[in-house]
Amino acid sequence: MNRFPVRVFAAAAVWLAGWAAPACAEVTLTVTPVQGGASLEVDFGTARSLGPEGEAESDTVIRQVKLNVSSNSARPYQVFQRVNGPWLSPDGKEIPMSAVQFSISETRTNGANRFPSPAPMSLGEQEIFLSDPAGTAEELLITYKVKVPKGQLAGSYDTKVSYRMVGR
Amino acid sequence: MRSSGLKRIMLAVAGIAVLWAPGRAPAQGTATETVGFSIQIEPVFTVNSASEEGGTIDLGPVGPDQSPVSRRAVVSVRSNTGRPYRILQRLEEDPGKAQILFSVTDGVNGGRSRVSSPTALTLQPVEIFSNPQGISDQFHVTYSVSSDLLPAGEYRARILIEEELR
Repeated sequence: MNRFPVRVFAAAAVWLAGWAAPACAEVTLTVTPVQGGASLEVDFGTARSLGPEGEAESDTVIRQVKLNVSSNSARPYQVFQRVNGPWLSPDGKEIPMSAVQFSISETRTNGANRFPSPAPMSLGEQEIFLSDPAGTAEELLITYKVKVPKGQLAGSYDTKVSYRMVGR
Repeated sequence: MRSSGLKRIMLAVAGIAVLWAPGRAPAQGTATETVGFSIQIEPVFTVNSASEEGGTIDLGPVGPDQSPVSRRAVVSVRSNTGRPYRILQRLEEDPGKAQILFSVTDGVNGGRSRVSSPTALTLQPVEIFSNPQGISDQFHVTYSVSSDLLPAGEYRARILIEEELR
C-alpha cells in the first residue's frame, strides 16, 4: 500500500536530480570591444557620407569585438548574436542593415564558425558559433564593417547587439 | 515503519533537489552580454554654380537684328543634413541699363523652382529654389538680356547665389 508513494518520491527525486545536474555547467562569456575602453560600447567614430566638397564618396569604418567563451561542462555550446534593432538616429533616421557586414576570424578550435566570410547584419538572433563536442574554450574575433551609404543623412546613429552563449 | 523512514528520506532528497535546482537554474549554461554600437555621420552642405559653357556667361552680342541669346548655369547643392534649404540670388554688380532676365528649373531630386518664368534680376535677394527634404539636388538657371533697345556698349553684371539652411 505504501510502496506506491515511495516510488513516486523516488522517481521525483531522481528526475529532479537529473534536471538539476546540467545546472552545474557554467558558461563564461566575456565581450571586449577591441577599439575602445572597458565599457561595452563600440564607437565607429565620425564618418562621411559625402566628400568635403559634396563629392559622391563615403567612408568605410571597421571595428572589432572579441568574445571569450568557455564552459566547464565538457559539452558543446552555442554562441548567438542578436541585433536588437536598426541603426537609428534620435529623430528616426536609419542606416540600412545592408550597409553593415560582419565576419568571424579563423577560430583556434574545431568549432563551427558560421560566418567565416562577411555577411550583412540582420535583425534578430542568429547562431554565429558552435563549439567542438568537448566545449573547448574559444576566442571569437568579430569584425564589423560599416560602409556608409553615399548621402546618408548626417546625425548620430545607435543600435544594440547582444551576444548569448548557451550550453547544450 | 521501514517504509515510512524511506519515505521521509525520499521526501528530504526531493525537497533538497527542488530547493537547489531553481537556485542554480540561471547558471544553467547561458550567459548574455549587450554592447552598444554607435556611429556619427558628418554633416556636409555645399553649393556650386557654373555656366554650362564654363567661365563667364556671355549673353551677347545683342542688336536690332540679333535676337537675344540665353545661357544656362548649373547649380549643384550637396547636402546630407536633412534640413530644408533655399537658394537665393541677387545682383552683386548692377549691369546699368541692361536688364537681365532669368528663370529656374525644378530640381532633379524634388527641389522646387520659385521663379519658373523669366523675371528681372534685382539687387535684392530673391528666393529662386528650395528643397524641403534637405538632400542633394541640382537645377538650371537660364539667363538672357531683355530685348529692349540698349545704348551700344559692354554691360557686365555679377550675380551672387547664396544658400540658407532652415
